[in-house]
Amino acid sequence: MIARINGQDVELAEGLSIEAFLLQRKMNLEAVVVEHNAKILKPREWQGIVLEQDDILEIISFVGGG
Amino acid sequence: MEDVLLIAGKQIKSRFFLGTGKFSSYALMKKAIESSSAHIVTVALRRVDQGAGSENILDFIPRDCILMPNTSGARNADEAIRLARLARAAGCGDWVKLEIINDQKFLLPDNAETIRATEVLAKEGFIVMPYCNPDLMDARRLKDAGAASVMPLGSPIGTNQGLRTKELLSILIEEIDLPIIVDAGLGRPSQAAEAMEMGCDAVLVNTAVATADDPVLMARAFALAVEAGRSAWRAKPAQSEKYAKASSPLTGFLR
Repeated sequence: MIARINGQDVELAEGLSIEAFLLQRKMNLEAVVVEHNAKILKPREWQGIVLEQDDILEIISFVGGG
Repeated sequence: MEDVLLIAGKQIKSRFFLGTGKFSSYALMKKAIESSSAHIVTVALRRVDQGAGSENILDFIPRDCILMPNTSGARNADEAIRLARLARAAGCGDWVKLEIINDQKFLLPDNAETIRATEVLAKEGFIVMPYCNPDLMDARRLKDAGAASVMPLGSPIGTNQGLRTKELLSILIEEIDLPIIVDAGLGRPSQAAEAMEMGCDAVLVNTAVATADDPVLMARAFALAVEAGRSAWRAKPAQSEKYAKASSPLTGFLR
């Protein structure tokens, strides 16, 4: 199963929730915002959404900027 | 008389705004914020590198600062709107420094797209602080669209060239009934003081502080210059004259 994550095609195991994916990639859950198929998710929604073929995920966080 | 900067009804404690890009570490950035007493601090949004370190910039920004995410990376209004919504979803409030750039050589802002995005975001309750070219008609359009301030450039981002747009800025100061905040191009504290002396309400600096040899000291120097320039503006400088006028009494008793 392949999803597009931050602009790259990523091979994923079936049945993986967004939260599980973030943990797997050692993301700092406090620091990220997730957009799933153009919809911004609340953190409490991450657990209940299972990634599917061709899903588009953007995972964003704050960095330094002027 | 109290001299208060109000933006969207909120009292801003410092007229020196600091950007957080280009610092060699978040720890150093934190010290620079503290040494300048900046109240408004900008940040940017980026895709998270998978497996990257998990240091969170927000942990290094003092709690009493107002966080102002920018929309850098946006090339049009739609991208900027999307970034602003993402930033708000991150739980950092309603402030947004709207920045729409589609020119990679001079990084000049796109006023038309910026006006369009301002209208949408202001309606959604954002406090919109648009980075723009200092054009009077466009500044009026930004105000009508609901901008909380106007943030014209002094010179292109990161160039340290100072107030190349001075004459246009002075028109905005005179004509636009919103805070005018010089954003971009200020390279030295003297240039920040110059902006404040001519009546700008605040300045935003990033590169000149972050890339100084001692960013913490430079942040302080900018903050002091902003304060000095503001005081000078309030004190109303005397006119310059062509011919000398003695400052001591010429009593003439030696003649």
